[in-house]
Amino acid sequence: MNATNLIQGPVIEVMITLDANQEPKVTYLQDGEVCTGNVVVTCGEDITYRLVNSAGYAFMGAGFLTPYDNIIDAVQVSADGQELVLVDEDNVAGTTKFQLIFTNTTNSLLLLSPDPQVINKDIDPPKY
Amino acid sequence: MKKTTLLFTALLVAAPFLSQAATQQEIDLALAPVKTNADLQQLLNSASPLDALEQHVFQFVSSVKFSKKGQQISFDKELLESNLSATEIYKILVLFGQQSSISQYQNALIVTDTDKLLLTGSSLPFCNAADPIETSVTLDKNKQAIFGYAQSGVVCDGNVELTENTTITYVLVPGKKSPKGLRLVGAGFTNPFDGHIEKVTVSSDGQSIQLENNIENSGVSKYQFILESEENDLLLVSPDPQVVNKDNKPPM
Repeated sequence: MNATNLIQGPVIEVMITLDANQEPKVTYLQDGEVCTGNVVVTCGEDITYRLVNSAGYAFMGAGFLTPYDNIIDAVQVSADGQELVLVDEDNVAGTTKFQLIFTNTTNSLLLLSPDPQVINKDIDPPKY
Repeated sequence: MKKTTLLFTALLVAAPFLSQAATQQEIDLALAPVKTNADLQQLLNSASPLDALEQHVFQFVSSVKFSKKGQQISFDKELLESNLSATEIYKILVLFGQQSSISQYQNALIVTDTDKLLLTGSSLPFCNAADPIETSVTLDKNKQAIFGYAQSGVVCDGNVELTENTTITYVLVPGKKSPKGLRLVGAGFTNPFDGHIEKVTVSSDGQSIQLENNIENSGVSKYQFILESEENDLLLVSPDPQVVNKDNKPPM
């Protein structure tokens, strides 16, 4: 994975489990607490999603309904597919929704997460 | 002989729906607030859905043509489509009793779920899985990708209903407003383990994708297409079409 010059932003753990109906459920955790997976960005940073306790799954990438809104600048996936980084230079204010895309070892179909979102906050510089 | 029988059956099945649609259009026209040029001029004196057109309002008003009996009203549809959201257009169509034609405005801006519903809702028919489904992706003025589905020029909703094992084929149809170098990468599922779709194959040129269902597993499977383009390195996902595997129970 290419290193960027941006600061390390939030690291969000992603856990995939199957419910009683064998339907996949994607859970997000930060500092051990369940969270929405959404991120608010106020300065350029790398947002990291890391798979935990999800044997048989790997990140394939992230898909966007609006990939041309320039809110996220790049997506990087680690060689082992266990980590995905959204590179957000925070040049554009706004909200973008995306879905994490996973491969699985049970079959050849791709799993999509429900959509977390990144919100780039437009912080006005202080007035003097 | 067989063809005649099939056609006759299809018309019989479709007839009640066609009749209902015609009746609704008649009701819409009868209750339309604007039937004459005088109605339109009066409307301009107060706040109305036309205000959404902002600086284009007078260009639109001058495009409105009334027939003598007030039964046929025409106007610049492209002006609406290129400046307004689906909801804003719908509110203007209501003025003229033409709200049932909202599905013709597929390039309208989609901002809210209501916009999406208006353009891709149940008013569009299922696609026929027996034939390739032409899939268009166009970028609106905000560079938002809008997906459209059609077969032989007739718009359908992208969904298919199956009663037997079938290979469903979607083919990309490039257009002037499509993202540059658009290619299909695959399809993603919120539940890839339900067995409704068992195999996904993308052509080597990325211009078509085939999904193979297993009719033994009845139910609805939602999926989203995943695409790449030369616009940037991010992946585009479509809103969700769906496959319905119908449970055909044998006669008792």
